[in-house]
Amino acid sequence: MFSNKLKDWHGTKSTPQSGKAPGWAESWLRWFCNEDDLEIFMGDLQEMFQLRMQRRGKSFAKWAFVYDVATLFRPFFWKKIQPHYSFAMNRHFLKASFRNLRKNKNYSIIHILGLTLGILCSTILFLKIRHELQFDTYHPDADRIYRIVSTVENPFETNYQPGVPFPFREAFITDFPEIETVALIDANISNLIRVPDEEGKDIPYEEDGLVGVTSEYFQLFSYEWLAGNPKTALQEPNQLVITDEAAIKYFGTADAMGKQISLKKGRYWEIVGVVKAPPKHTSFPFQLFKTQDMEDAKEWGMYQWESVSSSVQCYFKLPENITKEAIESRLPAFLAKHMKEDKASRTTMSIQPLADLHFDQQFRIGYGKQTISKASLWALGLIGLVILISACMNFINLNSALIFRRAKEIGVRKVLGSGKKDIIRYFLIETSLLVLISFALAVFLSELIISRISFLLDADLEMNIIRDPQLILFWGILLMGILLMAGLYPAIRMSQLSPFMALKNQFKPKWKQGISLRQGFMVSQFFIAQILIICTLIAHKQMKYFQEAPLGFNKEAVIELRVPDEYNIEDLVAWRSKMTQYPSVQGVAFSNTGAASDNTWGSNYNYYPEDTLQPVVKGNLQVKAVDENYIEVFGIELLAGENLRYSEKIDQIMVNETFIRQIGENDPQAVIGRTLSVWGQKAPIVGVIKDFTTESLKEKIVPVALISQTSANNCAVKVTATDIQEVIPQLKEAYTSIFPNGLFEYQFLDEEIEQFYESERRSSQIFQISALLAIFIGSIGLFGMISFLAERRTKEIGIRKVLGASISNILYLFTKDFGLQLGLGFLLAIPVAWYVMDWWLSDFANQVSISADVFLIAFIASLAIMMMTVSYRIFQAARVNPVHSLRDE
Amino acid sequence: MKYTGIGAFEELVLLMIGVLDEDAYGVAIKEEIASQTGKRPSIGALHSALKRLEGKGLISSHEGGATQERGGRRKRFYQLTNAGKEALMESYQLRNNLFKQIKGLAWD
Repeated sequence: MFSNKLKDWHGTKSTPQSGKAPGWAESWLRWFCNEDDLEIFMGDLQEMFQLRMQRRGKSFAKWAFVYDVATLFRPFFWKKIQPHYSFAMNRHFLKASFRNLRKNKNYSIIHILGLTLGILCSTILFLKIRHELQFDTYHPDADRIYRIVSTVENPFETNYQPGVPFPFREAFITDFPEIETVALIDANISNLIRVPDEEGKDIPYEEDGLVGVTSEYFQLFSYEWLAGNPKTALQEPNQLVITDEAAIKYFGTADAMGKQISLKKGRYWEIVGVVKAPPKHTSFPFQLFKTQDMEDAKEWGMYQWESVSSSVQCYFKLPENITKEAIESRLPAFLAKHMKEDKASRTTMSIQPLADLHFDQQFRIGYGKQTISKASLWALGLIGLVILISACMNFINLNSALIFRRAKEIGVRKVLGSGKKDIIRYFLIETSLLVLISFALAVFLSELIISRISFLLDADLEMNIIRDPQLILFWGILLMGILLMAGLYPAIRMSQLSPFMALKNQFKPKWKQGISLRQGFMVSQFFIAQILIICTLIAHKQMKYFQEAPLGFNKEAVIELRVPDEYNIEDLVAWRSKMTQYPSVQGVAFSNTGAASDNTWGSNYNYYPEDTLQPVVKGNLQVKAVDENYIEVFGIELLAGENLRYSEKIDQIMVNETFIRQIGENDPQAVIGRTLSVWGQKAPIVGVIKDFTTESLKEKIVPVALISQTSANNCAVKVTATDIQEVIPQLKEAYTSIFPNGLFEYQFLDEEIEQFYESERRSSQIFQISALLAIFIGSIGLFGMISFLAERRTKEIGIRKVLGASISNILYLFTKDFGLQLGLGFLLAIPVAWYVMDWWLSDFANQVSISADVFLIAFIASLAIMMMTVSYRIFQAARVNPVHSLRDE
Repeated sequence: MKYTGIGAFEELVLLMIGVLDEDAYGVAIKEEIASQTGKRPSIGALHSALKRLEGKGLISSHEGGATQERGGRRKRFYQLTNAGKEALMESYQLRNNLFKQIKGLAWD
């Protein structure tokens, strides 16, 4: 008999062994093996296991077991894939989902609201970030285009200069013949143009997009040419290339070839090319290009190596086989050859790739859009991500909670024959519905607000869905992600439900696990909201400081007027006397840059101390060329000495406090009468003025010299505060009487100064909006959670009421938990917010302090908001008559 | 006849089932093969062959005989069908026939 034979096989080991077959291998088998064979195989394997254990020990038996399972892993034995004939179910699922959503209208609204906001936010930020990253990438060979920049070491500071001296380009081409295309961009030109109209009369305009370029410009930077030849344009003098936008503005049509524009009195330039206006993500937003010429530079003595303007820049294309370092290493010798020894030794020239232009914080560019640091982009991206996560967390939280309480429904469905896959599909459909609705809403809203938002984000954003595959991809990924995270987990959990347990109402989802995750979510939301609130408050504080801090000069009631380009001194004198005739005009001052300006002129200086044995102090300072009315019009305080007198040469200088500190003096009186040389000219110091802010409050105050030469680019008029609006027409009258062909333009000084802080104001606004969004989304989430909890615990509340609890007791019960979470979120937020703000403020020379009261306000505000949100809902719940809530279901 | 041909291993399994008579189930077949031929086919290969043979109609099966060593699980016992017996006979006769025709091989 067989059993005899079996006995022969058993028991070769001395001691009887015992052990268990590896469970995981068993699970694996159970997973893939079909039903019919499963039991048989399990039995065989088990029997073999026992045999082997007796013969060759436990470990051998275990390994052999696993091996056996592996040999059974053949398609022959796999589970049959059930054909799923439930396409018909989809319609039902859809209907059921709709009904569900409508039934839980409140929850659905909360869901959709939160999610829509999250998607909206991330979409807009996606567009913005992509816009910034795209800058200048559309030119062919963009990776080989470079700009010349210089770092100049001055005794007291380092100067970052993006510009080159006028003679640079010629010398560069001569000494570096292997470099292909070298272009010069000259934006240091007047923006006044005159366009002849039909009658031949010249109409003046201000064209800020006017720039002088050499013909290589169009070889470096790609444009779409509508007319004209890119290879030959601007090779001759007095030529123009115009964009279609500008052409339409001036001529009414884009067909402007051959037309003429006057850039100087009596001289005309001819249009030889029309290009399509460049895309928004370009660092060169020029509209009108003229052949660059050195006329003005030579006439005003600026055609020299000592004079540099930051708006005259040199760009070139590096040939493929030459490296950046190869060029840079030859630059010092090049400089020494052309520049004066003492400046050349302090100057390091380097070449900067085109890709860095838009993000560079050191050299800046000045041709239009402000640069944005990569750090700011990161911050923006982070904010968007955080808000999106917030919204998603809410969605997931609430969705899971809602789904889990439908155990009974699922039990019934399963009893009626739904398989696991069906249940999963059911929930996925429902979640998809919500997500899709939110999505559609978000897309719709973003179309709506994209143009308004553009201002806030300082980017001309356009949303063109059809032609934007990246955007569609982004949305696709977003949609998938949200769907999976929010819908899949609860769907799968529910599908594994045992109908028996569900119907008996004993379904308790892993509540413990659910709770800690839920709490984590809540805490994170508080955390995020708090950080943003704190940042907003501090940013606001800083903005207020910018607006209200004393500048050292008077910015109220001062109007700045445009000075025409061609004038002579008599005109200015006549103009001033015309203006001062009006009673509301209290003073008129001419200067080169006004009081606070982003246009700064600098100079090296030599200061000759009294004691001729001491060395000459050299340094760098800012120069303002002013007239005798300057300090009066701006209300600048004179500390020692006397004001400048009228002069047409540099023969008097006033200096500020920072200057005298820099040269090592403390007493303003001590420098009066000493000699200072500025712009190569020596002159005596006649007065010392109190420091005033010459740039924005973001920079610290530097040494400044007010010199007596009047080059008038700026005319500042002080008026009495009461008649401001009336005085404008008077000023216009005065202007046109002296300059009949000129363009009358005015701006209020305080408005102009506000513009310095534009980007900070924008940041501040972004913080505000993000904070509001975070609070809103957090509150929505909180509200949803609380509603859910309140519903769930209606019975409990009823019982408590019956036992004597008051409404405030119940309130306390619920808020206690959330209060703790809020507190935790706050504590975590403190160091993060502190760090972020410290970093943001570090950019500014004049920063406000991060004080404790800001944190306190943030916490109290959040607490108040939380209390309001929670109380409202709990109040409702607590007021319910216990009779209703305790009714048996 | 339902089959188009059986491989060497399948034939071996078929023979074993015949040999083991009433006791022909997975483990027993495996052990018997090992003790009589020295081959150690894996349980996967074995059950594969069994399934194929059953599919070809050469063997039939019934279940039963749960023991403790098997954790209370049943065994599937196989036995030859008429077709299976016929197949074995044919194979044997063919081999014998050809064998006899080879010069120099003892055949008594």
